[in-house]
Amino acid sequence: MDGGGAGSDVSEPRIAVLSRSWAEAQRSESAEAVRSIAGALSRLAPVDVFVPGEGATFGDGAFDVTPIGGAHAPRARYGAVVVEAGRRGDGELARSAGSLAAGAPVLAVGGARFTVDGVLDVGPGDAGTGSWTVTGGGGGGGPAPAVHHVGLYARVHPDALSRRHYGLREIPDYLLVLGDRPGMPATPTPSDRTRWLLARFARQHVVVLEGGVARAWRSRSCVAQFDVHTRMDLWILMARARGVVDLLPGDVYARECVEALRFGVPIVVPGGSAADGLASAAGGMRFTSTAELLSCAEALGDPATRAALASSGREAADRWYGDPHAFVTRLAGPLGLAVPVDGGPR
Amino acid sequence: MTGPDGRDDKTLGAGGEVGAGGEIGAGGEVGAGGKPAETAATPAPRLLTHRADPLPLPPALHDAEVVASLHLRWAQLAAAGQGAPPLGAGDADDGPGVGRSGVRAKVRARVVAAARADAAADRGLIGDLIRAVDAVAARVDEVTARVGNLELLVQEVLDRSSEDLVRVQAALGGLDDRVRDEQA
Repeated sequence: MDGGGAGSDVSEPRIAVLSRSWAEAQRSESAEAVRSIAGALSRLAPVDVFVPGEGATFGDGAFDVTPIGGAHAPRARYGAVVVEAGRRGDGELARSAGSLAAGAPVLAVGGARFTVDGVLDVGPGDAGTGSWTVTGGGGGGGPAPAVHHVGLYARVHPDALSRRHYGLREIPDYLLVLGDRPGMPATPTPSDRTRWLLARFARQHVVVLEGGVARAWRSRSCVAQFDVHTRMDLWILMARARGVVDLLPGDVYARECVEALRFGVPIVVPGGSAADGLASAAGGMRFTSTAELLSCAEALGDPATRAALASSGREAADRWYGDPHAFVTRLAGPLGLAVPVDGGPR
Repeated sequence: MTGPDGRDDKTLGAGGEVGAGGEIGAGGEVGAGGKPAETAATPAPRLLTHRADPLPLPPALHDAEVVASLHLRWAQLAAAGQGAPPLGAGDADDGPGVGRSGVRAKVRARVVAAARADAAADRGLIGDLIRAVDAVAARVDEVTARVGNLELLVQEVLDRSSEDLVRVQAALGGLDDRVRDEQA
């Protein structure tokens, strides 16, 4: 491989994945999305992963990861390029994506803005299906950009449905609220919007999760507190909740909302967020004001409403985010890649 | 943990790890559009610093071991007292009024009579004390139950008034105004 994992032999199409989050924020939603895409694309062609910075190639799971800077700048051409650079964008990655693509499709993840011709934007936004979409291939005065419903693959552990979190103790039924203050350390005082929820539903248990600390509230007072260390802990909390209110969903694909729906738990999310389409299509409700938030949460108390949302939400989430094989097939289309009959190169 | 966009892990702490089944632990990058401004047109309700939900009531004092054992011990003592020979019974064949032993018997009889009177008074006092303990225990249990009911009532009043006040706020449009401020 010349300069980073890809050979100069163009007879075998290769795919380049350029990601800022891959190494710098491994636990971020962006990194999770890019890893899911890279995993799917690896069924279609060999994948080379590039990250910003300098240094030697290193292994990361099934992939070899190459710092794109310095002497390791890739010089190969690729059949498709995926680039994720965070919301602010990244000049180095954008330039590299352009040079690597050379006319090949470029998939931009997470709202990154690039000045590359033919770029395909992948991200949330479809209110009809709730699917992640790939948009592009049109524009420039021509026909409207095509929209491909590709979804994503978001793993959840089914055992979470049968487990009970130790911290819940005797709490039988609760509403799970995911906080909206990501930059703040865990504090005993919930945010304003959460406090409205706690006051409105004083007769119910409400578990507020923020900064890795879960606090169970009842009668406007904290009745239990425990740490949530792992994703499995979070899934167990989600799977047994009456509903999940995500006050600030992730902006890449609203990971927690997708996961809650895969457990059959309805979601309540802000309008205009990455989870808006998913909630509108099936399995959730959206709010644009605190009053609407309270109404949505109240609706979750109705068993019939909850059951209907749970059923349709789980179906949609499993369809678009729970089938890795279908994701591979759907992703191949917009990138113009063929789906191998035998399951692909890896 | 701060991500590349200056946003932190949303729900989990910094100690994310591999969960069961090989699932990668922790965190989502945080999302969408940043945190909405929280203007204070209608201040959010304040929370309580103490638990408002009643803790489980203690067990009834009347049935507690300390009171039950008092009754049991008293019953055992009473039974032993009734079965024991009367004081001075060993000297009965001495016969009254016979020499030195007759005098001794008279003295003994007076002592016995006095002791019996003291024992009866003691038993009466102990019985009264045990009945008093029973009464106090019953009253404590009653007060405990009333306090428990009061705690439940306070919680219910708190809960319902809290929910009603929020409903009123929403009906008056205070919450919507607040959000319009945010959106503006």
